[in-house]
Amino acid sequence: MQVVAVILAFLVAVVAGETCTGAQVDSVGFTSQDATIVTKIAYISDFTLSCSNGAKDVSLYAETVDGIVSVPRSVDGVKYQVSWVEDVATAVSGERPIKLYDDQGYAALRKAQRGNEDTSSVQPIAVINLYHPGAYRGPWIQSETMAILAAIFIYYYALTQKTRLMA
Amino acid sequence: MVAKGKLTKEEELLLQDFSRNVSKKSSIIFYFNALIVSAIPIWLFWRIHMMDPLSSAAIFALVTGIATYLVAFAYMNTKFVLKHKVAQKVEDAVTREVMRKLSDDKKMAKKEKDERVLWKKNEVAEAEATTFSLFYNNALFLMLVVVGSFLLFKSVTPAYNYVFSTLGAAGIIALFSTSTQ
Repeated sequence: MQVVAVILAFLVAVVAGETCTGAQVDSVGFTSQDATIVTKIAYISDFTLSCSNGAKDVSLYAETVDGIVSVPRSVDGVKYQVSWVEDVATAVSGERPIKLYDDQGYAALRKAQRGNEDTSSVQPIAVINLYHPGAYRGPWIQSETMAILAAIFIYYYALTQKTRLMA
Repeated sequence: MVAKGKLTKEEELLLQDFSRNVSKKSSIIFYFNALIVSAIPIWLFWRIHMMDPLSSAAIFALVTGIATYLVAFAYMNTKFVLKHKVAQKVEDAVTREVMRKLSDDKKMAKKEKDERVLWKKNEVAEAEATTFSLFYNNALFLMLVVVGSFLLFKSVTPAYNYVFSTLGAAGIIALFSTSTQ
């Protein structure tokens, strides 16, 4: 059964495109950095793939928070883009590794998932690091809170002065 | 010395110094300040709470007018209560100061020196009480407006928020000013 699956996966890979060896990715990333009026953070990574064996039109899959998704590819087959959105609360700042798989890797990954096996043993063909510096969620203290505190402080000063006068 | 039922000019002046009535000059100062302070919330509700100044002009004018009266009332009461306290506090210092100035003048009678002291004391107490009354009531009024608009009536529509917080603040300072403590 396993052998059949591997063969099928291989056949799918052959049909879908070439196998990429020695993959090199060149990526440009973007993440939204203002979370004052939005509830989700967008992550976008644009990248080009170059293979040492010169493979073109390679179908790629990426592991994101939404699971494993197919990576859209430009018509000329050079550019790829991975994107997803995350709630502001869960979007932690720092490096986000995006694992890229080709058809074979994808098939192996699905098989491992079905069999409840460890998916980390499946090697991605490349990993992109998308850096999210963190989003601005507004000031720590609201300006009206500051206004209230300042007003109370000034009144407190006025009251102590009055108490001293009236004593 | 005094005609029956009629007060001399000095006595009238003396009475005026210790009455609740304020002079025309003080009255202008109080009403002018009260107008400015009562108009400040308009800015808050225009720029922060996004009330349209033109369509809310009537409500702004009405509330500012009432608040001006109440704030001026509070100024006068607070000034009256404070003036006596301030007069007691500055008495020694003013006496010393006036006596030092008049020490060269040997001809001046003691009665006149005392009158000078009294007059000077009244002047100092009047000025200090007026200034402090403005400061104290402004601080209390603006604090109440800010707390009212941002905390108490936060969820009410801006127009009601404005009326409640401004008139509430003006009413509270007018009420507090009637206490003698």
